[in-house]
Amino acid sequence: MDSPLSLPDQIAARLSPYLGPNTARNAVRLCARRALDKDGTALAAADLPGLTQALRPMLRTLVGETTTEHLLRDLLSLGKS
Amino acid sequence: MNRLLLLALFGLLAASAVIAFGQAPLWLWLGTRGVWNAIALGGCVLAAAAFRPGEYLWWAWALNAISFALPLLWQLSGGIPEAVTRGPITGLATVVIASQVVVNAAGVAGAALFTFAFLRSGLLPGAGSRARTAGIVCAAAVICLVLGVPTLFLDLEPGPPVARLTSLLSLGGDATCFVVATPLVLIALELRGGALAATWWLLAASDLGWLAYDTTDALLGGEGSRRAEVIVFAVSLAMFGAGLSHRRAVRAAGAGAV
Repeated sequence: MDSPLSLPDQIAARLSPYLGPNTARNAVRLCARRALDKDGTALAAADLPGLTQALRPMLRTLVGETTTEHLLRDLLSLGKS
Repeated sequence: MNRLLLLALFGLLAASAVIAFGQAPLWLWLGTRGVWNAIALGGCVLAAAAFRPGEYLWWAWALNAISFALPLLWQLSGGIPEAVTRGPITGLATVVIASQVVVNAAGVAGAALFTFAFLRSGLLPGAGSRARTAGIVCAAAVICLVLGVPTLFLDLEPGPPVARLTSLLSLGGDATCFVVATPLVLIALELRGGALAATWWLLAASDLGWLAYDTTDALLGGEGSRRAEVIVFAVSLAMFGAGLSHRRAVRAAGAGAV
C-alpha cells in the first residue's frame, strides 16, 4: 500500500523524532534547495542520494557519524519502498 | 531518564540540601560535593562515549567533563586548604588559580561548541520568529546584568587575593558561559518535539545555574557558601541529565527506536 505522505514528508517524519518536526522540515527544505536546487515539496526517489549527501554534515554534527550513517541508510530505503 | 533513576537523583538532591543547610561534618560535606561532581562527570563521559573520539560534540562533552573532573580531583585530595586561599599568590595558590582558569575555559569552550553545533549544521536557530529571538536575548542580558554586576562588586571588595582572583575567574567564566549559552535556549526551541531538545534545555539550565550560584555564593559568603552549593548540586544534576539524554537520543537514532 502506498504511503499517504509525500516523499519529503516521509523524510521529515523519519528525522522528526530526533530533530523535532520544525527542524526536520527545515532541514529537508534547506538541503533540497542547496544540493538539488529544488524546493522541499517536490522531491522524487531519484533525489534521495543527493539529499542524503546534503543532510550528512548536519546529522554528523548533532548525532555523530555512526548514527548518521544508520539514519541515512534508512532514508535511502524510502526510495525502494 | 527512567523514573526510578530520576527519583533516586532527586532524593539525593534533597538529602544533599539537608546536609548543606545543616551542621554536617566536613568529611560528609566534601563527600557530598564529590558525589555530585562525579555524577555530572559521569553524564559528560556517557554522552562523549556515544560519539567517536574527535567528533565535534565529542569535544564538547570532553571539555565539559574536564570542567567537572578538576574540581573532583581537588575534592578527592581533601579540598583546597583555607590557608592557600587566604595567603599570597605563590606555590600551591598558583596551581589553584591555574586549575580555575582551565575549569572555566573548558566550561566556556564546551558551551560554545554546543551553541555552534546548530550553526555548523547549517540550521539557524530562531529563524521562525525575530521577536522571540530578540525577547530571549534581552531576557538573557537582563539576567546576566542582574546576577553578574552585584557579584562583580562583591568580588572587587578587599579580601585575600587568591580568593578574590578565583572568584573573579569563576564569575567571568560563568557569565561568558551564560552569554555564549543563550542561543542554547533558541536551539532547544527549534528542536522542540525531538529527542535532542532535552539536551539543549538542560545545558541552558545548567549555565544559568552557574551564574545564579556565583551571585548566591557572593551574597551569602562565609558559612552561607555551603547553602549556595545546593545550586551546584542542581547544576550537576542538569548536566548529568543533558549527557544522558544526548546519549539516549544518539543511540535511539542509531537503532531507529525513538
